[in-house]
Amino acid sequence: MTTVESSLSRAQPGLRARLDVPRRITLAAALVVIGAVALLLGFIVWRGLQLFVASGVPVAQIFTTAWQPDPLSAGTNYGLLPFIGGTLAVMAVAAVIATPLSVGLALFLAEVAPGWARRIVQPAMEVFVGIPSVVYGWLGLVVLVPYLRTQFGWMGFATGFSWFAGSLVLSLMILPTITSISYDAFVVVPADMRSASLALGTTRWQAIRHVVLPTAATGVATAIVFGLMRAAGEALAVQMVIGNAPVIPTSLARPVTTLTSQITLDMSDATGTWNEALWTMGLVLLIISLTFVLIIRRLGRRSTPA
Amino acid sequence: MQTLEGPEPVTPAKLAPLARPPLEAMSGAIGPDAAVKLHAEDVSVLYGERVAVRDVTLDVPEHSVMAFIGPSGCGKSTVLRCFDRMNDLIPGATVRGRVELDGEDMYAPSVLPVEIRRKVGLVFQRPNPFPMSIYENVAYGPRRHGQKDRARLDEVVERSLRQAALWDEVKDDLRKKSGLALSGGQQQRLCIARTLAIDPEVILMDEPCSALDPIATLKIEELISQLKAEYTILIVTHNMQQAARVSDRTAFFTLGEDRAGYLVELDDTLKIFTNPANQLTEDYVSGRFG
Ligand SMILES: Nc1ncnc2c1ncn2[C@@H]1O[C@H](COP(=O)(O)OP(=O)(O)OP(=O)(O)O)[C@@H](O)[C@H]1O
Ligand SMILES: [Mg+2]
Repeated sequence: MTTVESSLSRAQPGLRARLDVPRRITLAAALVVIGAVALLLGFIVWRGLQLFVASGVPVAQIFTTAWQPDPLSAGTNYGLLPFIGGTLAVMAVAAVIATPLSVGLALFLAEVAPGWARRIVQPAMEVFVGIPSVVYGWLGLVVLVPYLRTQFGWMGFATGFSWFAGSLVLSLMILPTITSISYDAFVVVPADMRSASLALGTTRWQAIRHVVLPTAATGVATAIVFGLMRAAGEALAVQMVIGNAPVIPTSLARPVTTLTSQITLDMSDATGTWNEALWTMGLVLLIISLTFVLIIRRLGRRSTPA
Repeated sequence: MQTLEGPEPVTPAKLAPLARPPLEAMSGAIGPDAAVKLHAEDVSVLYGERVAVRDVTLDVPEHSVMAFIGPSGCGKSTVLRCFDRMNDLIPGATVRGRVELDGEDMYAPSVLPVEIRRKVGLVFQRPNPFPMSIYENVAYGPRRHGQKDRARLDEVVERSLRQAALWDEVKDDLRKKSGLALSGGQQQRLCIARTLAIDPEVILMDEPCSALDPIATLKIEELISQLKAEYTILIVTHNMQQAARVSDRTAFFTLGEDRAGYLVELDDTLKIFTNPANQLTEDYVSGRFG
């Protein structure tokens, strides 16, 4: 083996180095990206911990509910529970609204829709994705919020700014994400599987319900988690309709707030410990996202057939 | 290793030893008064504008095995699919003519394809088990048709797997192992078991052995011979010996000048392979085709 190799490299001096070029280029690119991500993560973690390390705020304090951030006034308290709770609550309700709609739409597109319907809906979805979030927020602000206030005031929508408004706007924004990822999960289910079910004398619906859906289940779950991840990170549109009240969410009709919207709101005023608290909120957000990434990876592993 | 596939020339000398079992089995298998299970009359199938097969007229007697042979693309699978209305699923496919199951028009407006497919099972050319456990694969049909009783399901699963000559190989991990984790040949037998589990009256098999080794092929052929007592079987095969071994009657299709397939000759298998009426059949079965 060695002799063959050495005679080869003698015959073609420099070949080994030339073959190595693509590997080196890709390795360099990978290192740059990995480095950037590591720096970013390290930085956020570092800044996020300053509230506890430099200012000596006890970690337990962030799990309280009072948000009195201004270090210039007496008696600060950095309770992040309203923001964490708000983020999770707005996200969860958005997912509850968007999931049946998008999975249903994806199923319709993949299994039922005639070609022309697909040709209309798919570009429409892409347009949906392309609309900047400020437009969604603006629509929510000038259409949804007043509508809730005037039509559903009796249900407790005093101002219209509410948990529900935030979730509804968000659900619209994550709809294309969930739809397109679950659509992909449905179309990769081999046509053979559907025919196999039909050949056994089942109805089309039975084939979808008992073969297509279970086969695509992990893909659909991944789609929902991607949707949630997008929801967790969205700031602007939500902030415009949610009312931004740092309270634990208890009613869909009342204003709440989220980590992202509070960070963007306070960014310019925050100094000292307040500023550090915002970094801590960023860190919490990062942890939420990483949790989703982990879940997605878990799902991905499970879907690989044994 | 030599496979059993491919249109290998079948000389009468080669055929003789192979043909012995069906010869015995055949004697008296189809009396002249055997009931007609499937009947096709002037059936043509179009894909879009193109005629794929034209004017097929044939009868399949009850409790018999009929083989479809012929060159690739002559429409064997297409004709097969007419008998369980699977062509309905192909966009642009049109079936003309009359197809009967037990003397009744299968394509009458009042007939639901779902009913037909419960009576007529299809084993696909490519094994296509569901991504579920072996048990669930076999129990799938009965479950969908309303069988909820565990004991009955267990029974059906075991019987079907035994019939398909797969039971011994899988009985220890019925519920643990995915159907996809089986070998290709085992998957095909699983698909056969899955079809048997719905207890059809007719079984259509589209080249069921093309992915199997000779031993598994033999098992399937034995199975076909056994099943004949209860079922009516139509099998597409490219393997002449197989057609000779398992079938009572053989239909030879070929491609016409107009590139549409048609039925050249249909007769007792022995006749087709030893003394066909048509020169085209003679050429094909003796390997002088093409
Ligand atoms: N889904 C389809 N759409 C359009 N044309 C088709 C379709 N299925 C088959 N055909 C055409 O119909 C003709 C007959 O095909 P078929 O599959 O019935 O042949 P076959 O005899 O089964 O061939 P093989 O032995 O290769 O399986 C072919 O010309 C084929 O191209
Ligand atoms: Mg075929």
